[in-house]
Amino acid sequence: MKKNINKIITFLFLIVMAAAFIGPMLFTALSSFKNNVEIFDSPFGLPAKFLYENYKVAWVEANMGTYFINSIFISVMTIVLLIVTASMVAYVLSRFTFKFNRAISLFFLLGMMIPMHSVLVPVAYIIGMFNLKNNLMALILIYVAFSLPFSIMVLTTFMRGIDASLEEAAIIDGAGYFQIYWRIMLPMSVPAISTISIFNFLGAWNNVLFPLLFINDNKLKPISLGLLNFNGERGSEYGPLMAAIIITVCIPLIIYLLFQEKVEGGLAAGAVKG
Amino acid sequence: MKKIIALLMMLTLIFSMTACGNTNDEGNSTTNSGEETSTGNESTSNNEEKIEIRLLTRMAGTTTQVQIFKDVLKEFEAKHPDVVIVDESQGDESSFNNKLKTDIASGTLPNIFRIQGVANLSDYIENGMIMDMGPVYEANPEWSEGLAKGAMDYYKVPGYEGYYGVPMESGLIGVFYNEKVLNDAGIDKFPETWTELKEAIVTLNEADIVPIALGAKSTYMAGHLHNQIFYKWLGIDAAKALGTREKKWTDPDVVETLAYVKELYDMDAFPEGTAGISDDIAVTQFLKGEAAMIITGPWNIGKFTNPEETEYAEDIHSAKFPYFEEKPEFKDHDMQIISPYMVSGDLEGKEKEYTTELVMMLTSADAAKRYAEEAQFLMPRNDIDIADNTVSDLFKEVAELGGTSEGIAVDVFDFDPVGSMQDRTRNSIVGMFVGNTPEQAAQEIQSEIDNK
Repeated sequence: MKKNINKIITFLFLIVMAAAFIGPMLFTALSSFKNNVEIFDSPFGLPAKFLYENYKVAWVEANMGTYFINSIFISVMTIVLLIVTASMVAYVLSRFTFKFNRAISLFFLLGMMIPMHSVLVPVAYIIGMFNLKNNLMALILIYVAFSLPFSIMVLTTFMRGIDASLEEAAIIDGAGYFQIYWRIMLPMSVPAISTISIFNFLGAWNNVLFPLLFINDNKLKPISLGLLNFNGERGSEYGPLMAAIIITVCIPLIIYLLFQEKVEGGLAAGAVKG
Repeated sequence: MKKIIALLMMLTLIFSMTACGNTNDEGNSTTNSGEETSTGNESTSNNEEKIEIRLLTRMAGTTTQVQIFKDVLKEFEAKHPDVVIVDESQGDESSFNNKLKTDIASGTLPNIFRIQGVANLSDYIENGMIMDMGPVYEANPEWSEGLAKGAMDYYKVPGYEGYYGVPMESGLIGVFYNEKVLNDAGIDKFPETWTELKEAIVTLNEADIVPIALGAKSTYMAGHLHNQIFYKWLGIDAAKALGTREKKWTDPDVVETLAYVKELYDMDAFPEGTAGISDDIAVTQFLKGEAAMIITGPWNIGKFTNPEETEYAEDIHSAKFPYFEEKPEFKDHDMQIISPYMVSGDLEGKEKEYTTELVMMLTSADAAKRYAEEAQFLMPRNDIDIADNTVSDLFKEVAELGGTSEGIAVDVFDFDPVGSMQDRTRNSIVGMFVGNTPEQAAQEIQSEIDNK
């Protein structure tokens, strides 16, 4: 009897949570086939007539063909650079004892405390000074800089938990530091790497602020800026905007589903050993 | 693992060769970056010799008026092949503010931009960031004489000579009402006075109709309501006196204006849960006939006259906000929308020449005619020849009403030199919908000034 009650409570809780998460997605999906009046009149009702052209408008207005490629390029480059730099730093910080180890760790941790908005003006000034506006690599480097502290923290924590006997065996076999990093630490850290990859991919994919400030060339804009095309000063066309959101969400969703297991594993491993 | 890394490297290489190519092929600098203009023109190949004109306005989105704006930009580019236009306009307010603030702070002001307010322009003027349009007006009388004088004068900043903005949008912000809904509820004519308005609210509530559609989550709606009451109770000079500190928000007569807002709220003049409703929902309530009145401006005329958006397209009319019987002298002191284009004060030579020409083109009689006929968007010009059958009756009503204003002002905070007053005043007014008293709201607003 008690077991059954517990089960019912658990299921009720899960149903409420599922509704809380599915609700906004359902609203977005339904709204993508409606006009403004229908959206605000009956947010969760079926449309009287499905406006499939919202998707066509979304594709054209948001210039999605180009913006999609730009967003993928920016996000992929960001995580590649992050994996390379953060894993190297994490390897050194987790495996070597030297005088400034703690100070360097602290230095990277401090980076997490800096709010993005507080450095907008200096970053804008630097971008202007070095003529880096409309330069995707500059944008990618900004993302990498902001994501490094979190990534280093996750990877360092994870690498500290890897059994040292593997490295000792490799040393006996004649492996150097780079070989240990490349053949042992990196493959062993795949769960943590997957975690930082998905977090930072989503971060780069969703970021609006930096491309808004530093990219004004239509050929280089990411998808997040395309969504802004639907916002007017006094009201927006929400139907095409919702259609654009549905299209935009597809890629991160697929990537998340692909990496889901690894991400959860990485998070759990980091949490326990931290 | 090695396979994943190899795959990522390969992807990076492929994308480097494709996406990065855009920048490399066409130059790297800010001004010569090979941009395709945001207006959608063909990409430019010899941008090294081209003059870049950057715009940061609020003309963004998918409306007809934005399309006309983009068309004018394209026409200008076609006329001047040595110019490349970069339109960075943002409809979203926070995106616009972020971009403008960063541009100002990093010294990369756009050629054409917009700042809300008038009295707060003094710092920009002193730093030479906004061009005085006076000499341009004088040198181009065929263009400037067609601009409405009242709207031009709005950008004469107190304490400075000259004109620091070219008006590009105008029109009465008043009450749009659904005549059929009012009649069905037993109200024969639109309430012209405050007493009649309160009577109408009681009648409409009895008929289970929302009297005034107002979504205070979009705080400007509550702000516009207070502006209306303020100008009808104290006149527009009182708003200027607040800006020059001759008056205080805590003065009894100013507190009264806030109390009238609160009185309407307490009478259930607005939809249930108004503090959590956005402007889109309020407009939808009005379009569906669930609300009898809405306080808004000419930018919604297109919606109100579109039979696909509302079955009441023939029943919607406009009127001025009801006046107070004891203050007939302020009956025609009205809130109007006036939005500007401002030109950077840093420009020189050919760039300055082209930028001012573009502003003139964007605010020309031809553009104004297109805006009126195709988008029902009112530009403050008195030399527009609009064909009678090309605009709606509602548009004509609003235009005629706007012409009867004896005192014109936009928002009360426009006259205040403190830049944060837009948010402060609107938030404090909305605060009265969630429990604050008018006195508390007045004190909050005054503190913003006193603490500067």
